Amino acid sequence: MISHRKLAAAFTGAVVATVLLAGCSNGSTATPTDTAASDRPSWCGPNETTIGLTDGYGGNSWRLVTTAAGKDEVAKCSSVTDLLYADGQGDTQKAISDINGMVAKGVGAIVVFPDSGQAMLPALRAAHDAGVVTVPYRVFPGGADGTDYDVFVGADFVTDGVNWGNWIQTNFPDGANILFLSGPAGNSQGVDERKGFESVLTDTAKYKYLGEQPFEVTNWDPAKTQQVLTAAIAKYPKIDVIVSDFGPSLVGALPEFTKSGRSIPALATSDGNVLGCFFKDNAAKNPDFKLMTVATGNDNVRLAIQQAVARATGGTVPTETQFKAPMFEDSVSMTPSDVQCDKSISGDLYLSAQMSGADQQALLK
Amino acid sequence: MATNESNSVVLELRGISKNYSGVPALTDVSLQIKSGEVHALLGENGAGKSTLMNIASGTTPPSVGDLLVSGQRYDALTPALASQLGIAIVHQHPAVLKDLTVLENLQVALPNSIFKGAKAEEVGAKLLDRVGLKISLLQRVEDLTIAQKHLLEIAKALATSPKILILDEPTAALGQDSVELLFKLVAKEIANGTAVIYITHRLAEVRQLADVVTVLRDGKKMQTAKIAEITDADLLAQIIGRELSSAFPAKHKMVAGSTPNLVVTNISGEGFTDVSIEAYPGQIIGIAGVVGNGQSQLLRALAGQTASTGTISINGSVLSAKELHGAAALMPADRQREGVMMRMSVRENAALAALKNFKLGGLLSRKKELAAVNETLGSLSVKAPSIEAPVSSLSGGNQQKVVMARALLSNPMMILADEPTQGVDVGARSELYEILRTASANGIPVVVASSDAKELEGLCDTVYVMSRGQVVQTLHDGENREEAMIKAAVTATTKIIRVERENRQRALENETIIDKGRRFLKGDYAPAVMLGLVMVVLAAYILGKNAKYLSDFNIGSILILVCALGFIAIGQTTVMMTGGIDLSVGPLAGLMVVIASFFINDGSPVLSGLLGLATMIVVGVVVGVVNSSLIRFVKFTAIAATLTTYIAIGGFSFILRSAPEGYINQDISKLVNTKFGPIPAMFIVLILATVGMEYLLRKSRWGWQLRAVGSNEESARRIGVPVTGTIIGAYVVSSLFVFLGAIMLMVQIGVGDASQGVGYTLTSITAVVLGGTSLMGGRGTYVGTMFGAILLIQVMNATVFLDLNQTWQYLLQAALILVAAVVYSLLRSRKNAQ
Repeated sequence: MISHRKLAAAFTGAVVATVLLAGCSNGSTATPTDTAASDRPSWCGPNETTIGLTDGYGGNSWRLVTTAAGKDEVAKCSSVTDLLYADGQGDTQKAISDINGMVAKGVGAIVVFPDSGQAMLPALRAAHDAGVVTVPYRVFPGGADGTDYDVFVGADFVTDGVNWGNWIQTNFPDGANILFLSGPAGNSQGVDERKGFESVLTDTAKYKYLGEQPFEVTNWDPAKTQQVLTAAIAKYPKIDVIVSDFGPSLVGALPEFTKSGRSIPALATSDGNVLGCFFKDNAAKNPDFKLMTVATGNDNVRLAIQQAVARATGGTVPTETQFKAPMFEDSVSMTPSDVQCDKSISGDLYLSAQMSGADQQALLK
Repeated sequence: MATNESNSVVLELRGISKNYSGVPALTDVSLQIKSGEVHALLGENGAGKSTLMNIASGTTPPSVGDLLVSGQRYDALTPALASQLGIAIVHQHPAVLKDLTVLENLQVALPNSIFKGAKAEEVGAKLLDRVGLKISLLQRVEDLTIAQKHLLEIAKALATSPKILILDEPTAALGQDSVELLFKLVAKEIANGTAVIYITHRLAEVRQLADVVTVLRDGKKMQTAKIAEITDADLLAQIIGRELSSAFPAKHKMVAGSTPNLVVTNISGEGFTDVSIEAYPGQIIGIAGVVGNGQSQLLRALAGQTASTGTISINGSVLSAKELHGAAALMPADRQREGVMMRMSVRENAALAALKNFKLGGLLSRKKELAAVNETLGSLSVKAPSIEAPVSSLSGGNQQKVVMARALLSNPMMILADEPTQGVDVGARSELYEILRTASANGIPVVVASSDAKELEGLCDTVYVMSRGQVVQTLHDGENREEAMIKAAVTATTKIIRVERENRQRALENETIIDKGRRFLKGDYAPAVMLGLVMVVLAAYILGKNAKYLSDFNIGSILILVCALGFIAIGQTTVMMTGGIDLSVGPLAGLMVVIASFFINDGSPVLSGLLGLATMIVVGVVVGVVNSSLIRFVKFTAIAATLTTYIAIGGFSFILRSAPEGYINQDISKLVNTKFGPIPAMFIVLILATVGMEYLLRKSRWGWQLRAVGSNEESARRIGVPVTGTIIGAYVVSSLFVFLGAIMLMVQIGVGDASQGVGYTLTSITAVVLGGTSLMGGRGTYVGTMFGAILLIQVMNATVFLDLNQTWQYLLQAALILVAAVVYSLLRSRKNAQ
């Protein structure tokens, strides 16, 4: 009896693995919609191909929306017969393995969000060397276009900075005390943004920067952001503008102003539904509360997809290689839009994305 | 074996005292041991005999006093030094390692010289044959019976032809035939001039064997005398400090017209067949026979712990196994393993079975418990420092009394005692007999199994002699003499043992595929084979979906990822083999890459590269030494120690590289990534390393010592394994394999990034566990680990190839680990029945 049980148990391993594999379907495959040749975009060439899209870490709503945006873009081109997606789950080795796996499987092009930065360069280089069109985007992996990968589609963070700078100059022509928050120490995004608004706010007598330079370090972590902001509120009696490249992370800390009997100041930042709704709820009570946002960049992936598909299908390669986030909301000028809030969808979503709020909400299910 | 005055003194203990946290265990004991002489050491449990012998064999240093060995003075010995000096000891609790095979136990405990010039198997077989041990050399010691473990211990001691042989109650667990064989062996050693120190409780053995006798009481030497010049009564008086009226209590007198209170009819079970027993109130039933003829199994079935057919009725009502379980109190023979919870206190051990009696509301009444436990322990005169002292601090006899106390406290329906006086001194013995007799007189059926026929003769009213699981003779009061029992058992056995041996021989020759499979599944390599099967099934499935699965690119990229994990997991396996764990491997790999990013860049000179590699190795060795020093000297647990270094190393990496920088030399990267066809050169290195380590683990002293330490640190120390050195070595080896892993990681990520590598801590542990290496230490394989590493990477790759939803990545890994854990523990669950 015993031995039979043991033998049965021994086989369970193999059986379970097989059943698990057999039981699952291709859950993440996009079905490209048939598009008539007439409205085929110029970057969509005639040669059929498959596209791989990989994330280093795909576990938050921003990434869900971004991935969906990527699929949406791919669907515009009927030459792409299949889109594969893989999530590195925060593990560099898994992210490398994902890229290798897609190359081995024979994709024509691969679009990579290289969360681990330069550590992903050898894997990108290997994919490129294997003849696969390789397009990293958003996070710079080191290396150079044409040798280590086909093209890097970064975001133009200097432009974001310039947009913020212009708005500050318009709304605070007599000068302002500015608190700038960004991610990890020394991150290139924060450095570029600073470069951008400094190029506009040239009068250093009028525009003063508070706190740690070039920016207060938050690691883009809402909890850390709250600590930093609380300390700054206590330390500086007069803060006119807070500049941040991760708007929604401010929401938790802003009530600190109200608690200390001050108005929430002006914010120049990136968008998020939660931030828009917070503004709508609190603007009346805070006379100094103005809000301007640039799009948070979910659509950065669309340009990367276009670059990749164009090269793999023989389409026209877009000349643009950098994503410039458009201005999104401005509570003062109302252009391009007033502050937006959709309480019927999650606060985690981004109304600046091309995809509708309702479609984004559907992704969360 | 007459004592010869001219025999030289080979060992002298001078003025030895030993204190344990202020409590004296030995006070000013001096002893002279002469060659060619058997020196018996007598005393009650706790008199200090074992402590004295631990000092003589180097396991324990004395607090005061010194030793002279062959005229050379020593303040203290170590086990290794003692064995060099020709001192061998047979411990009361055999210092054998359960996770190692019989042969490996011999190899790790004995010097290489024993095995020189012949095949290890032949030498091992000869050693076993000498003590009459009929078992396979490849059997795991865990599966041996107590008697077999004792014989193995004796075989080890005799193998070195020692000058001084210490036998600490060697016959306690042995049957009559083994005892006679042992005596013959001892006689032979004596004839060769060996000095023998013999600790026992059995006076008869002392008479039979010893030339000189020394009595210890309460840590002090009472007397040393020639055996011929002292009477049993004198000896007993010295041992217990008082005259014993009689060792055994008076027997029961049959009352006419009484009816039996225990009737067992034709019960059969595993290890015994068709046994019937009848007992009248007040009678004590004895079960005699050579050890291992079904006595223990019978008792277990009577206690309702195992299934049996037939009927058991007490006081007229037939009881099922379920009803008996818990109601009948069984005192198991293997006290250490089954009788007491070593780490729990005396009170907890005693009260455990009777907790329901102390209920007060839904909780326990401390007062009731203490009162009952105190009374019972008092009546058994248990010698314990305190009622809250751990049971492990008690001597053998006192532990047995605690077991007895537990049995009595539970108000049992029946008392079943398996070898109740094994390792118990004369004074305590007579107390135990008295307690059993009282319980019996109160109408509780008492059944005693013992290999000591003299004991059964004195204690029992009716004795059933068992052989090969059957009752071969029933001896009623008056006829149950020792000789009768031995005759019944031995005459029956001669025939039966032969039959059994022939059967076993035949079984070995005609081993069916199922038998072979079963043996294999219990072995170390079963996990590796199972992983291999899973890998093949998975590969076949994917290949069916996509022919590119076996493309050169895919195989190459899978295997190159396997390399980093594989090397690190080999290091992890080494540490886990000692029962430790190394959490620092991940950050260490990261730190080494960060270090490399300063030295091994494009355009940097060769010397700089070499310096970088050297720095990486030195850092690895330092981390290994720090890890193991925290564990051995600062007494951190392995998890705490390596977690400390885990955090420290991570911080250090960030100090060196606050942002990713320092690209690794591309030529070096290409070199490391060299492939032969689809196979990376480094993967071949990994295979060679795995095979090499596996060979060392199985066939070298280093490997045996590694597993010995993991299996049982205390036993390993007693057989002379340098425990601290072995553990330090293991952590250093681990760090050196991390170095090889770091080389792979270096070319994989190509830049000095302080945040990389950390994940290898968990994945390496996962690979090791999948590979079947025990987290408890002592057993496992490098081959299994490597298969585990390959499978993990294969699963990672599979999620992409099968285009699985990302959740499957987690689900697959979790399923693999769960199934592995369940299967492996099922395979290892050892059957209690022996």
